[in-house]
Amino acid sequence: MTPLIDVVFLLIVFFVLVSRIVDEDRPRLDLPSPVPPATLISPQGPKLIVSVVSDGSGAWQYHLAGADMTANRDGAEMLERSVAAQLRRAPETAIQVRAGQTTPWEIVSPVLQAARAAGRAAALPHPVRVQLATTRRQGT
Amino acid sequence: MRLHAREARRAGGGLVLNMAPLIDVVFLLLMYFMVATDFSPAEEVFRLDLPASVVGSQPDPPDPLDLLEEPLRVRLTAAGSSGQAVRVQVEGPWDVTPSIKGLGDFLAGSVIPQGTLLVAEHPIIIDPTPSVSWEHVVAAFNAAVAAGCTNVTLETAS
Repeated sequence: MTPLIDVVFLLIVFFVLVSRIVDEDRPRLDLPSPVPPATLISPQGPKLIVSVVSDGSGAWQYHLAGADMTANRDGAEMLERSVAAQLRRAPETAIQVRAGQTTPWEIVSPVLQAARAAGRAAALPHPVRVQLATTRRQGT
Repeated sequence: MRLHAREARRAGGGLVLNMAPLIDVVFLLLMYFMVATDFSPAEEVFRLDLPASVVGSQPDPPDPLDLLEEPLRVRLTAAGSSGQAVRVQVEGPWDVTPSIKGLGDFLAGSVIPQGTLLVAEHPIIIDPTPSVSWEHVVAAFNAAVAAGCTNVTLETAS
């Protein structure tokens, strides 16, 4: 029986690891953690995660559902089209913006502009739902 | 296990417990729980609604003679030698300490019922300059939300 249990557990560990590798929606970022934090909500419901990541050489990219777009005018337009397509399919989708603490506003701002423009393009009956991702610092 | 015990009895020895498979399973369990545990801090979010048009919808103030009518605009500019600090400026005649804490204190003292200047739904627009870091933008947003403001937005007009 023991070898069987061994193999079953190995399979479980394997699939847990694989599922983590496949989850590329959330690259590791040093998210802002305001102190003291206001009442925040846990992210629920359908959402589209847009992460603003740096490649380490000073260039920024928008990361959306496994695809990378350069943080410039073209990238912002591509982002807008992708978000608009998603909002047409599911108007209740929230756009979750994840950016590191040191990311300049000029890089994050086009994401919000794209979200607003996408809402307009998708003719949403309500404002675009945006979520600003943060973490809670230990002990707060 | 039974086979091992029988062999041991046949050999004239006592009962021998084979520990190796047990340790295998214990290590597998340990590995499983280490992999399954998420050590990264949980993420929470601020909710921000972006209307299709530029923010301009005015709430109905209970007393228009006493209350502010225009959206309250909060400008953030990068400060300090390396631009890591932030300077906060609230548009209008108010004397606000130019820091995130000053903004929080001003808003907390202005929103009804603590203050008399703003209703909680009054639009507050945070308008950062391009070089302000995201950390400070979120800190200003947090200060406004913590003060009880429910209609806080970020300036996204290009």
